Amino acid sequence: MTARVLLVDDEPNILTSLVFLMERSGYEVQVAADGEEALAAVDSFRPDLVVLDVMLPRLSGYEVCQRLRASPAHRDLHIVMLTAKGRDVEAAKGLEVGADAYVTKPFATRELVALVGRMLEDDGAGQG
Amino acid sequence: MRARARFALAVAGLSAAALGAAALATWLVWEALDAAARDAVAAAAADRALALGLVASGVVVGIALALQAPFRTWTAPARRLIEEGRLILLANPGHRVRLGAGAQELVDLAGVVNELAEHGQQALAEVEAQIEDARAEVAEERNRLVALMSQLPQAVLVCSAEGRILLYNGRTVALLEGESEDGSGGYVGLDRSLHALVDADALAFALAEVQRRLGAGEDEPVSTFVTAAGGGRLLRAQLAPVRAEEPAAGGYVLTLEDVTRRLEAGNRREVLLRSLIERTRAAVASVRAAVETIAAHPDMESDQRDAFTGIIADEALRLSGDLDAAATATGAHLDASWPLDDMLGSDLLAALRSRLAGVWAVDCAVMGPPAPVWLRVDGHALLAAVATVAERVVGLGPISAASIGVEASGGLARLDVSWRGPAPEPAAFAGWETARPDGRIPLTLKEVTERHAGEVLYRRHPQGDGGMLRLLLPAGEPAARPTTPGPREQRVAGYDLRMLQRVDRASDLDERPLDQLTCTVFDTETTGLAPAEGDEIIAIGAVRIVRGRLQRHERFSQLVDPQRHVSAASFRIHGIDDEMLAGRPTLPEVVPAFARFCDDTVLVGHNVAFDLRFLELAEGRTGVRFDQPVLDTLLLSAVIAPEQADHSLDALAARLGVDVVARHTALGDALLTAQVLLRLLPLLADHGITMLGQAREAAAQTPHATLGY
Repeated sequence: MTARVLLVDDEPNILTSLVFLMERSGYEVQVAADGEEALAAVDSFRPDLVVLDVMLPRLSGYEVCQRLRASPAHRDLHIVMLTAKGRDVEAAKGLEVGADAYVTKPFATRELVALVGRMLEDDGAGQG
Repeated sequence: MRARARFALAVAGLSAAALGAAALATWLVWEALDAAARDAVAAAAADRALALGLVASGVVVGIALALQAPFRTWTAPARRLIEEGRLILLANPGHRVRLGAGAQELVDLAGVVNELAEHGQQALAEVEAQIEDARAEVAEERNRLVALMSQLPQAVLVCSAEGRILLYNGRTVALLEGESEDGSGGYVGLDRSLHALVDADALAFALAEVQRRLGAGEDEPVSTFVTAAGGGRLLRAQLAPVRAEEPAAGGYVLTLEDVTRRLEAGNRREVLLRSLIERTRAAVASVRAAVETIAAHPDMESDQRDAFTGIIADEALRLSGDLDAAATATGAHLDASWPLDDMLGSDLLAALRSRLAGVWAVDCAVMGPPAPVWLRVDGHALLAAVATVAERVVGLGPISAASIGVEASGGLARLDVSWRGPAPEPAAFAGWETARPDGRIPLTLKEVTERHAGEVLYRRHPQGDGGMLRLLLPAGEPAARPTTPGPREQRVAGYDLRMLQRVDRASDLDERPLDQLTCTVFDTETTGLAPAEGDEIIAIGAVRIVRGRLQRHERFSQLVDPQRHVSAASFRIHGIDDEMLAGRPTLPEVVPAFARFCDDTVLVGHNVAFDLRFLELAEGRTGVRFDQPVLDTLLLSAVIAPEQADHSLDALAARLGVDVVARHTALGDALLTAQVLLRLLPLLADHGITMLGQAREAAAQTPHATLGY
């Protein structure tokens, strides 16, 4: 089964590259441009992994993450925060609200792809 | 007139009278004789000329011998009686006259004088007791002021219009003198010049600025300047005028602040920011150039295109590295412009607990921390913001239980507040984060966390029966514990504001009244009594008298390594041995520091020629010449009490009623000499000596003044 990845960021320029990379890696990809859209997309698209920016309009990435984790249905969802907020406190908060990984922009695309790959591979046993 | 001269005059007078009478008698007889008899008498007289001469001398000697007794029993003791009476009257009411030898009447008179002195002293004591009560109250007030000033964390300074220090506190000493023990940055003390301690040009400019603003009619003219001070610090000084009734008098108040760290941090941030901007410009330029070239030439060869994309990748990578470096650097130098303090976690929890008890009516359980955790916080703002949120929570319903805790986590600290009771939805809580509390500096929880460069988290229990507020805050450093104050910090504060109200009239030092002098009273201990034969100074001690008032705390005390052996004989006197001196600074190091200490003052000592000789002989080694005016308490004592035989420091102290605490230490002797000097002043004034020049002249005329070493 093809893994599904949801990309959430309000900057189209970074999305363009991320979409390209994820699709090239063989995943099914959808995008959302703000927090509310992201939550709706999680419900409808049912992704295996979400790449989540923090600075979003309407609902911050922290809040999206917190809400997702609050619901038992999304316990197994992989959440990777990808953001320009690079301070230690902010990374700590990201992990506190339940992100599985916290990547600071700018980042090495190769490494991000590898990280996503590793997380989804671990599911592989469950997904066959 | 001196006693001896008087005696000689008396002898001469009486002899002249006796011999004159004899001559008159002879002449009377001579007149009655006729010529032949005269010749016979003359011949007989010529025969006995020698005998006659001897008789005449005998008369003179006889008179002298005869007069000696009355002089010894009357004149000399009477003069002593007068001297000692004056001493009782002017300097030491407790002194009693002791006449060993003398006429019985004089001894009785001495007894009467003593009785009168006794009565006088009692009456004086009663009056003084009353004055003392009144003074005690003033002294207490003064002590409170000094204690308050010495505890001020700010450095405060008052100086006269000419820049002479009139008031200072311990913090001022610490900031201006720095760590130097030898006064290389200048000394802080009453009547010392401020111009020697701070950047003279900057000070002058600030003073002129204040004057200009005063002239322009500004109500509160203040001027600011930055100066370098001892130890490489940078100080920010604020200057404001103090007005007095006399137009030329008055002065200035200064506060000083150490801005070294702040300026350094500010500079570092600026440098960092500027370099980041420059590197980003460069990187973006390369990227844009590459991108625009590719866009403008879609037909370029693929390897050429690869080169350009390579450039873009390269620059992007380099820029990423620069950003990381900048982020780390700013993190390390984060000196938030909002004032934060290092605080112990347990102290913060204690304060939070009592605050929440008031808002929630619940006693919070306190969790840990197991080991001391330090946070960097504005405690008050933080507590106020948390309390505001707490108020909103309890507004929804009562709280049944709560717990608070602090934990270290990486380079951060976590402050948790958990409660059982109503808990809003996260969305509602988000609104509370931006709610503004009441109070003087109303900051929302969001603003407070931002100022702390921290983050806020809120979690609601799944059952909805409680919630948790978590604050991620920067970790702090253990606040530096103050060490026991060294001897310099004990010069906690001093003030003498007289010069604010009047102006120094006498520009010539010799015309300065003795009780308005600023002197350095000093004493040395040495290896022996022969400076010209290799004896050396082993200790210098000094205190300051500022405008006639002894400043006990402004002192100089230093042991000196003489680089030779201390003889057993001199050790018996001062108790300093070779071991105590090993490793001490040598004379060429100490004397310049001493010179700075006594700069611009009159030098005073007991038998000071002795000490000065040592310093003079060492001029080549130390490079210091002392050319201040000098006063010697031994000579001054000889001026007012020429009949006394003993002018030693011990005898002077006893006569003048000064308690001897520590003899034969340089500092102890200097203090003693200073007190002796102050008590000599009224006695000198009684002899008509009120100015420095007069004192020096009178001292130079005493017989002791010619002793050389």
